[in-house]
Amino acid sequence: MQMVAALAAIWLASFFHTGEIKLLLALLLSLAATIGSDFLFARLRGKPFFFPSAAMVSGIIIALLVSPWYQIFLTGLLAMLAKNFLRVGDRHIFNPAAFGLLAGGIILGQNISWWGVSWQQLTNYPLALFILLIPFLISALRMRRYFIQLAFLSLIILFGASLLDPALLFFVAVLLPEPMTTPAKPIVQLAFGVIVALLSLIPYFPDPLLFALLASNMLFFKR
Amino acid sequence: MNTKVILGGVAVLAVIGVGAVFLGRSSQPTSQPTQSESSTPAVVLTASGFAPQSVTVAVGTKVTWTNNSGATATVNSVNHPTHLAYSPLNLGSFGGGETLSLVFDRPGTYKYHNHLNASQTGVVVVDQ
Repeated sequence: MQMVAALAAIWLASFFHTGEIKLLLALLLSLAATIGSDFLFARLRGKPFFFPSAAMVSGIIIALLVSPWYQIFLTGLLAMLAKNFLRVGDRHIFNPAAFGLLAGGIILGQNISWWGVSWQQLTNYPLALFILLIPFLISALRMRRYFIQLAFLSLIILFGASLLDPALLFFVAVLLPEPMTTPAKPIVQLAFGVIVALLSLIPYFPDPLLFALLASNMLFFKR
Repeated sequence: MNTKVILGGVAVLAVIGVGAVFLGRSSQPTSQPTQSESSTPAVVLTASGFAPQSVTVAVGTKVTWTNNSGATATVNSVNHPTHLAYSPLNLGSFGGGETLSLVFDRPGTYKYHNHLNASQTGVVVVDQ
């Protein structure tokens, strides 16, 4: 729920920045798609009722990264499809939001715009950038995935990426360190971060970062 | 069961990969009005996107972008959102009426986009 609160703060900042009411409708649609399909797919698997915090996280991420309503809806469905059915035992293989985003983008031939996490430039919106960085506290300290984040950031900056790019920071803070699909051991985390950075150099449509993350999820999957 | 699921995951990714090849090709800009070699190549960003979407220039030519879109925009190299293909083309943000420019000193094809609205794309083709 801490990540839900942090993501909600980022979304609110983006909502007030744009001032477009349709973004609220898009968020509600995204949450309906992820929460509704998560419940449905879990019931099909015979699972009991649960609080949909993971689906809420995915729903807010999707609402922040894509725009057209049909892309939001399809992405939410695909994300929960991956969470519920692309799994071994108790663990799903892929980061659900990343899977939904990439698969939805490919199916629809649409880019992932990262609209809600691209405008927080330090020179113009320092407070908004600070809000964007809050998830780092959760992912690095509580989830203990800082080795992944450090390894990835170190390498990607060497490749020429900007450390202050808000979309990149959001990826590192929220998507990259998802605990269910990333390694726990420090040395393996370092390897994971390096591989994601290397794979992100491949100009994969529609998004090289998400492709790199999903490929690494699969390479490092351990039951 | 485990092997089947993993193979299933591989198959899904393979389908996605094949789909990406075809959809990536179909997503390339179709024929657009281009600006051929000019002494002062200029690109204007409007609410509809960059115009012209493609410019062809000689090595050593400065290309200038002007923002008439009514909103803050950026000029960034592909690929969104990492912008690693050609880092000198990461020119940063510019507001209404402001300009950005870059001298292209090597031949090649340089794709770029507005990071704040990634559907707005363009390309600079630099000839020898």
